Amino acid sequence: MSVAIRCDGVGKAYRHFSHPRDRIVQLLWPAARKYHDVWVVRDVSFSVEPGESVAILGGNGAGKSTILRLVAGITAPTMGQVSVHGRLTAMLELGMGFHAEFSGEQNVQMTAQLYGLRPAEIRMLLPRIREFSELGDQFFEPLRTYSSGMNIRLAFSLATAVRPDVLIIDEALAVGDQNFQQKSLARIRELQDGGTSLLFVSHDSGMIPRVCKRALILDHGSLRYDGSAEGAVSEYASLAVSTPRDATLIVEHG
Amino acid sequence: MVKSLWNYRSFVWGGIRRDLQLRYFGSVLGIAWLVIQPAGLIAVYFLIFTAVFPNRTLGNVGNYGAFLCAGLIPWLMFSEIIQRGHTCFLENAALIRHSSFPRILLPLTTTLSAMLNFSILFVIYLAVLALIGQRLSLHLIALLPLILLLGGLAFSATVALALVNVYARDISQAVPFGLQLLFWLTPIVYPQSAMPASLARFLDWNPLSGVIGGMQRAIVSNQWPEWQRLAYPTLFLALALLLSRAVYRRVAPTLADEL
Repeated sequence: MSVAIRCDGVGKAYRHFSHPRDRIVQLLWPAARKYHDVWVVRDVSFSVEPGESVAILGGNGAGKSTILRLVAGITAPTMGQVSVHGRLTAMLELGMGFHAEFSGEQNVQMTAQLYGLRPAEIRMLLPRIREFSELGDQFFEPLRTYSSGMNIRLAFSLATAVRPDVLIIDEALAVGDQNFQQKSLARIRELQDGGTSLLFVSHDSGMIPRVCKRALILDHGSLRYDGSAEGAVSEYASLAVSTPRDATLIVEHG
Repeated sequence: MVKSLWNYRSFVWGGIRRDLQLRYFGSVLGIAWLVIQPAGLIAVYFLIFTAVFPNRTLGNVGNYGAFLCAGLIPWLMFSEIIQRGHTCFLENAALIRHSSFPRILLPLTTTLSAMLNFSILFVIYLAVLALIGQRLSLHLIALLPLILLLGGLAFSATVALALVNVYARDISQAVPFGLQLLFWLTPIVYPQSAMPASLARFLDWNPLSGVIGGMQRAIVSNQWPEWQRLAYPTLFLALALLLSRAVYRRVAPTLADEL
C-alpha cells in the first residue's frame, strides 16, 4: 500500500522584494530575479503511512506551519516533491477561511462544497456538525459574532464530520475548553482507528504523546529529529534550553 | 482541467448564490436591485440622448431605446465581471490561505454569476420589446454565441487583472478609469456609423465593437451579425485566454504566499 504523505527533499523559499515595483517586473520578466529568497524550510524528507499520526514540534519560525501548508497543497514547494494520497482536510491558523458575514451554516455549506460533497450529503451532515460543535442557535448567526473558541469548534466539527484520509491540525485543540478538548481527542482517536493519517502541530507538549506515537522536530526549517513522540518531547525540551530563542520570545510578549 | 473543475460545480453554484446574498445583504429591496440599477442607468442615457440632446448626430438607429439597451445590457455584464472580478483573490484571501482548490474557481464564479444576472435582465428586456410591439426574429439566437464571446473576453481579462492585482494594487485604481474609457470607445450609446470615418477606424481595434454591434443588429434590425467582424474578437479571445492562462500557471501555485 502506498504512503499517505510523502515529502521528498522539500524546500520552501518566500520571495522578498525590496520594492513593490519589483514584483511587477518579476511577473513580466521572470529572468529578472528582482528578489532575494528567504528560506523557511530546507531539504525536509519524511513519509507518513496510512493510519499513522505524526506530530511536528519546533519553535516560532521553525517552519511547522509552512510544512503543513505544503502538505495541504495550499502553496507549492520551491524545491522537492510533496504528495498526498486520498482526501485531505486541513485546519490551519485556527480556522478554515470562514467568511465573517456568513452564518456558521453557510460557511459549513461553502467549505463542504469545496470538499466536493454533494448537496444531499451536505444536508445530511449539517445537523451533525451543529450538534458536535455545541453552537446551538448560534450556528445560524454570522461568523463575526463568534468567539475564537466557537470558531474552532465549528471548524473542528466540520473538518472531522466526514472521515478524511489525511487530517492536518495546526494548534486547533489549544483553544477549545476542557470539555470540548476531550471530545475532540475522542473524535481524533475514532478517525485514527478508522485509518486516517494525522499531521499535528501543538505547543502543548503534554498533548503530543497522547495523540501521536511519532514526532518530528523542525529547527530553523530543517528536520532535526524523527522518532518516537516521547523522545521528541524530551529532545525538544533540551533543545529549547540550549537555544534560548523561544525563551526570549516569551519574555518579549509577556 | 475542465474535468477537475466539474467536480467543484456545487461550490461554483453555491458561490453564485452567495454572491447574490452578500450583495443585497441588509438592503430592503433586495434582489429587485438587480433590475432597478440597470433600468435607472438605461433611463439616464435614454433621456440624455433623446430629450436633453435630441439626436442630430446619432443617425438612424430606429428605436433609440431598443438600440441603447441592446448594447448597454451586454456592456453592463462585461464591466460587472471585471469590476467585481478583479479583486476576487484579494477578497477571498482567507479562503485561499486555508484551503487548496483551483484558484480559477473564484473569477469563474464571478463571471458566471454576472452572466446569469444579465441573462435574466436580457430576457426581461426582450419581453418588454415584444410587449411594445418591436418585431423580434429568429436572429436572436445569434445572441447566444455573442454573449459567450463577451463573457469569455471579460473572464480572460479578469483572470489576468485579478492575478496582477495581488502583486500590485494599482490595478484596482486603474480599472474604473479603464472601463470608463473602454465604454466610450465602444459603440454602445451611439452607433459606429455616427462616428467620423477617421475615428470609426479605431473602434475596429476594440474587440467589443464587433460583438456589441452584432447584438444590436440581431435585436434592433433583425439581421445576422456581420460574421467577418467577429473573426477579430474571436482571435482576440483566443490570445487573451492563452495569455491569462500563462499568467495563471505561473502565479496560482504560490498565490497563497502573496496574500
